Amino acid sequence: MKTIWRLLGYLRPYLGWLILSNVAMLGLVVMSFAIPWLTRYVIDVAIIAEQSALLLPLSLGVIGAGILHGGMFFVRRYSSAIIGQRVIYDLRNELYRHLHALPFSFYDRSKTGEIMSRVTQDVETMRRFLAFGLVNLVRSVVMSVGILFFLLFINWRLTLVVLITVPPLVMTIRAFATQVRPMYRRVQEELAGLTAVLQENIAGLRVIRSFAQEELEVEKFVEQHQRYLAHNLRTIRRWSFFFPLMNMITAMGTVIILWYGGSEVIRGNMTLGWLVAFNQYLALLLGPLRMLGWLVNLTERASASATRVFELLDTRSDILEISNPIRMPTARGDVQFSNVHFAYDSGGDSVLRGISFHARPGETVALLGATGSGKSTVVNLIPRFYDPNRGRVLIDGRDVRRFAIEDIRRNVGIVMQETFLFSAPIAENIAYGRPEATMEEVEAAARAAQIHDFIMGLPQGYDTVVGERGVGLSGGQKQRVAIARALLLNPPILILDDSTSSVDVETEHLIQRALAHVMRGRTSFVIAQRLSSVREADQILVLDQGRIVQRGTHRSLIRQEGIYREIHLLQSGDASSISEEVYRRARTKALEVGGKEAR
Amino acid sequence: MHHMHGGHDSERKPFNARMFMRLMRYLSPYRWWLVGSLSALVIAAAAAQAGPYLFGMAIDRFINPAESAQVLTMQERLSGLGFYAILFIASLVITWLAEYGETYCMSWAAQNGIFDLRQGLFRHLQRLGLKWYDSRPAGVIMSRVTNDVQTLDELLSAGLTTVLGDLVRLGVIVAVMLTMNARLALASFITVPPLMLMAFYFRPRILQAHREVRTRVAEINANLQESISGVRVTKSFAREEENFAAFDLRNRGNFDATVAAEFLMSIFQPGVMFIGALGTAVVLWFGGSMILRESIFGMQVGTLGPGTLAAFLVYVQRFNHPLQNLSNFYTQMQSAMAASEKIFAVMDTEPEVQDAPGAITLPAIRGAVEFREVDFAYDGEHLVLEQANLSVASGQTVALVGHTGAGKSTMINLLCRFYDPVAGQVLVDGHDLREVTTYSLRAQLGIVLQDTFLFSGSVRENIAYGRPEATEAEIVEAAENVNAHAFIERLPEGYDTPVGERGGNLSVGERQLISFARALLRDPGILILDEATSSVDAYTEILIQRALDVLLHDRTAFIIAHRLSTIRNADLIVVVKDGRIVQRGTHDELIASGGHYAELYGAQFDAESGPRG
Ligand SMILES: Nc1ncnc2c1ncn2[C@@H]1O[C@H](COP(=O)(O)OP(=O)(O)OP(=O)(O)O)[C@@H](O)[C@H]1O
Ligand SMILES: Nc1ncnc2c1ncn2[C@@H]1O[C@H](COP(=O)(O)OP(=O)(O)OP(=O)(O)O)[C@@H](O)[C@H]1O
Ligand SMILES: [Mg+2]
Ligand SMILES: [Mg+2]
Repeated sequence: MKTIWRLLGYLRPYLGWLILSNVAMLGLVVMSFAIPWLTRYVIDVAIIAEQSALLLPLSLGVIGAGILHGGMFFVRRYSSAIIGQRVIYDLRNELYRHLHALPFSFYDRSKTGEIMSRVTQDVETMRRFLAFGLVNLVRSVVMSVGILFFLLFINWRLTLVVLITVPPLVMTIRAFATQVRPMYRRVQEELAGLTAVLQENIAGLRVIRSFAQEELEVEKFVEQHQRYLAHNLRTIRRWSFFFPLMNMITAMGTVIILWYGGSEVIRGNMTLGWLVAFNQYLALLLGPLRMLGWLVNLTERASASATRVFELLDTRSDILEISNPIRMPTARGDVQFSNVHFAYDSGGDSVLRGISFHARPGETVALLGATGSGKSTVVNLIPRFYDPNRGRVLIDGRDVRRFAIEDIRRNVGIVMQETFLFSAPIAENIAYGRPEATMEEVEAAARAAQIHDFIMGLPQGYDTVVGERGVGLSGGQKQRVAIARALLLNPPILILDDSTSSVDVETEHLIQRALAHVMRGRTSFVIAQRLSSVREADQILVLDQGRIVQRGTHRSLIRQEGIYREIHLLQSGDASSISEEVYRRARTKALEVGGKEAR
Repeated sequence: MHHMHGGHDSERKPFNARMFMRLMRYLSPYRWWLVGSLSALVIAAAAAQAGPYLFGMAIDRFINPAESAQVLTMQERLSGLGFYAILFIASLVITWLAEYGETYCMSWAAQNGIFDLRQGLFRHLQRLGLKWYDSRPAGVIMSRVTNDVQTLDELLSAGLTTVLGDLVRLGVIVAVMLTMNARLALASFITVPPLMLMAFYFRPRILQAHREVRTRVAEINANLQESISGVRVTKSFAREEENFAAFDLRNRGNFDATVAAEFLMSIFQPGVMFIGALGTAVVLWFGGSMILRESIFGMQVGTLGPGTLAAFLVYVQRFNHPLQNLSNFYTQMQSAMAASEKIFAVMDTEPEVQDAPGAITLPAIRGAVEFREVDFAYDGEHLVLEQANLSVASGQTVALVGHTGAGKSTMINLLCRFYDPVAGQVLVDGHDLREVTTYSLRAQLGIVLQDTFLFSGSVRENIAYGRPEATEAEIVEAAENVNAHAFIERLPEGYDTPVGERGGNLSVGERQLISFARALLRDPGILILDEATSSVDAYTEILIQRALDVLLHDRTAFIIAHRLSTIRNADLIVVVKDGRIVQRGTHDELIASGGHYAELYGAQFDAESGPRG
C-alpha cells in the first residue's frame, strides 16, 4: 500500500488534470443513470399510459443524454491517459538517469535482463494502472454503490433477489483471481524463460557451433518450449471455463429479473418500464463489479511492479559525490595510491591488499602480473568506478572522492580490457566521449591508434556501422577503435588495460610511438602481458595476489631476481634452454599458491 | 548513437492465399479440434441470442399480454413466465458450455500448431550459417521467434474464431430481429451504417496508432538495452548527459504517440456508445409509435408488443462488438501476413553452409589439414583470403602469425567450416569439408575462440559445455592443464561458483582459461587456439605450454598468437599478410631466410631485449 501511495505521489504535478478527470467521471456516472431511466419513462408513461406526445421528446432526451455521456467519456478517458502517460514519462527519465548514476558494482551483481524487465514491463504495468486502473477503480466503486442504493429505493425486494447472483459472481471472480491469474503469471515467466534461452543461444552462437552443440541447444529450447506450451494450455483451459461462466452468472441476473420481476409486474407490484430499466441497471451494477476484480488485480500487480521499480530507484550508489566537490577542469596527472585495500564483495576475499605507488605527471606506469592478480582492479579505482575499502586514491594530491565525478572521468581516458563498441558508425564510436569533435580530430585519433588506414579501406569508411558488439572487425581492429576513442578525449591520464592484447607487436609498436607523441606530458597506465609493451615505462609495478611484489624500471628489474626477470627471459631470449628451469620454478610457485589457497 | 534495428520492415502485407495456406498447414494435424471448435462456435453464437428473444416473448405473452389476446389466469401467466425463464437458463448453460468448448478446442489446435511452427523456426536457426547472423542484429532475430510468432498466435487462437463467430452472431441477430418484427428491424438497422463507418474509419487508425506506440516502445527498449550493456563505457566517458538527451527524445516520442492513440480511442469509444444511445432512441420512438399505432411522417407503422420493443433494445446494442471485431480482423490479417512472410523468409533461407546430400561422417580425425588455393570474402566481394595454400601433416603444431586483420581468424573460421570458401578447398584427412557432415567435423574439434564467451552458469557447467557427461576428475584435469584449478578452488563456491553474465565475475584472463579448459576437455582431434592466452600472464602461459607439449603430442594444433615467444617451438609457422600466406617454415628457417617473419620477430625481439634505436 505504501508503494501505491508513493506512486500516487507522482500525480502531484498533474493535480488539475486529475480533478478534471474525476469530475468528468462523476458526470459520466450520472449520465449512465439517465438512459435506463428515460427508457422506463417511455415505456410506462408514453406507451403504457398512452401519453403519445411524450414519445418524441423523451426519445430525443435519450439522444441528448447520449451526447452528454459521450462528451464526459471523452474528457475522462483522454485526461486520465495524459496523466498516466505524463507520469510514466517522468518515471522513465528518472530511471534512466538513475541507471547511469548506479556504480559498476551494481552492474556486477545484476543481470541485464532483470534490469530490463523492471524498466520495461514493470513500468508498463504501472502505466496501465495510472492510465486506466486508477480512474476505473474510483468509477467502479462510485457506480456500483450508487446503483445499488438507487435500485433498493426503486424496488428493494427485486434488488435483494437479484443480489443473490452477486455471491456466486464474486466467488467466481475470486476463483478466477486465485487460480487463473497465478497460472497466467506462470505462463509469462515461462515465456520469459524461453526468451532467455533464445537470447543466450544467439549470443553464444559461435561457441555453440564450434562445439557442435546445436542438438543440446535444441533440447534446452524444446524443454522450455514444452513447459511453456503445457502451462499455456492449462491456463487456457481454466480461463475458457471461468470466463464464460462469469458471463453466465451475470446473465442469470436477467433471468431473475424476468422471472421474479415479471411476476411482480403480473401481480401489479411493479411497472413494465421498471422491469426493462432494471435489466439495464443490472448491467451497470454487475459490469463494474466484474471490472473490480480485474482492477484489484491490476492494483496488486502495479504495486508489486512499483516495489521493484522503487527498489531500483532506491538503490543508492555507494560512489557518491560530496556536497561541494572540487572542480577540476584539467588535471596535472599526478596519481597516487596509498595503502589501498579492496574487495568486490564486502564480505569476500580482498582483491587488493595494500597497494601504494605514486605516478608523477607525465610518467608511464606499467602494471604486470598474473591472471587475476588485480591489475584491472587497480586501474578501475582511478576513475572511481569503485571506492577502496581502505586507503586512498589521490589525483593531483587530493582524494578522488573530493572531486566531481564527471570531472574525474573527463580527465581519465580508459580503454577497458573488454572492448564494447556501440552499434553506430565508426566515426560516432570514436567520438563517443566528445560528440562535438571535428572529423580531423577523429581521424587524428584513428591515425594514432593505427586504424585510420583500415577504416579508409572500408567501402563506407568512417560511416561503416560496426554491428552489435562490433562483429565484422577483427579482434585487434576493435581494440584499436577503442584506443582511438580514448585518445580523442585527450585526457591528462590515460589507462590502457591490456588493450593491445590482440594487436601484433609491430602495430603495437607504431601505436606506442604515436602515443609517446600524443601523450607527451600526460600520465599513462599500461597493463600488458608482453614485456615489449611495458619496457619503456618509467615505473613497472609487478602485482601478485593483490600486492605489489616488485617495482622499478625495466633496467633495474631485469637485474633483480624475481618474476619480472623470468618473464623477460621467457619472452626474449632463446627460451628453450631457460624455460626448463623457469618452468620448474613456475610449477613450484603454482603449487605453493594452490596449496596456500586450498587451505 | 544507439541506432534502432528492425521493426522498420513493413508491418502489414496484403492477404496472400499461398502464405495463408502454408500457415494453415501447421493446423492440419489438429483439424479435428478445429472441427470441434467450429461446431461449438455455431451453437454458442446462436444460443447466446436466445435470451433477449425469450425476454421479449415472455413480456408480450404473459407479463403484459395484449388486450386482444386470449385471457389467461394469473396462475397460467406465472407458470408460463416460469417456463420461459427455464428456457432462458437452458440457453445460458448451453452458451457457457459451447463457449468453453469452442475456446478450448481452438486454443488446443492453435497452440500446438504455433508450437510446431516455433520449434521448426528454432531448429532452422540452428542450421543457418554465421554469415546470416553476421548481417543481422540479435534483436531482429529474437523478434522473429518472439513477436512475429506471437502475431500469428493471436490470429490463430483468437482472430479466426472471433471473426467466424461474429459473422454467425450478426446473422442470427439480424434473422431474429427480422422474424420478430421486420419493420422495426429495418428501422433499427439505421445504426448499422454509422457503426460500420465508425468501425472501419477508426479501427484501422487505432491499430495503426497502437502499432506506432509499439514501435516507439521498442525503440525505447532497444535504447535501454544498449545503454545498459554499454553503461561502463558511458560512465567512463562521462557521456551520461548526451545519452540522456537521446533517451528523452525517444521517451517524448513515445509520449506523443501514446497520447495520439489515446485521443483516437477517446473519440471512438464514446462515439460507439453514442450510436448505442441513438439505437435506443430509435427503437423507443419507432417501436413506441408502433405500439401506440401512431403514424410516423404520416405513415401507419403497424403493431407491436412492448416485449418485442424490450428485446430490440438489447439487440440493437449487440451489433457493436461483432462489427468492431470485423474491422479489426482485416488489419490483424495484414499483420499476420507480414509476420508470416518474415518467418517463412527465415525458414526458406538455405543455410549457406550445410551438409551436402550424401555427406559422409568424417572418420576419427588423424589430423592432416590442407588449404588448397582458397579464396574467401565475408561479403562475397572483397577478398579477405587469397590463394591460400597450406598443407599440414597429421600431428603437427601450426602457428599462424601476422598483423592484426591479416586473416588468421578467418582461416580458422574456414577450418571449422563456419563459412565456405569462395574458391578452392579446405581438406581434413583428404576429405573436402563440404563432403562431410558439419556435426562430425566440429564434434572432433576443440576451439578456443578469440572472443571469449561464457554461458551464465557455474564454472563446472562451462568447462563441461562440450562434454556434459564428463566426470569430475576429467573436469579438474582440464582445469589443471590450463593452470586454472588453483584460482577456481579459490572462488567462493569453487567449481560451483556462478560466472555471472558472460563471465563478468571473473577477470578477463580467468575467462580465457576457462574457455581453454572447455576446449581441452573435448579431447579433440584438432585443437585450435585463436589468441587463447592473449590476456593470460607469461607465467601461466608457460605452464600451459608445458601441459600442451604433452597434450599436443600426436595431435594437430593451430595456434594464433601475437606473443611470438609462445609459438617458437611450432613445427610449422605460417605467416599471413593481407590475406595471403607469404611465408612458411620453422622458426629457424624463417629467421634465416629473412622476410616478414624476421621483421615481426625482430620487432618483438628488439622490444624485449634492449632499447630501440
Ligand atoms: N564477420 C566479418 N564480416 C566481415 N568482415 C570481417 C568479419 N570478420 C573479419 N572481417 C574482416 O576480415 C579481415 C580479416 O579478419 P580476421 O579476423 O581474420 O583477422 P585476424 O588476422 O584474426 O586479426 P586479429 O589479429 O586482429 O584477430 C579483417 O579486415 C576484418 O575486418
Ligand atoms: N566484478 C567482479 N566481481 C567479483 N570478483 C571479481 C570481479 N572482477 C574481478 N574479480 C576477481 O578479482 C580478482 C582480480 O581481478 P582483476 O580483473 O583485477 O584481475 P587482472 O589482474 O586484471 O587479471 P587479468 O590479467 O586476467 O585481466 C580476480 O580473482 C577476479 O576473479
Ligand atoms: Mg584484467
Ligand atoms: Mg583474429
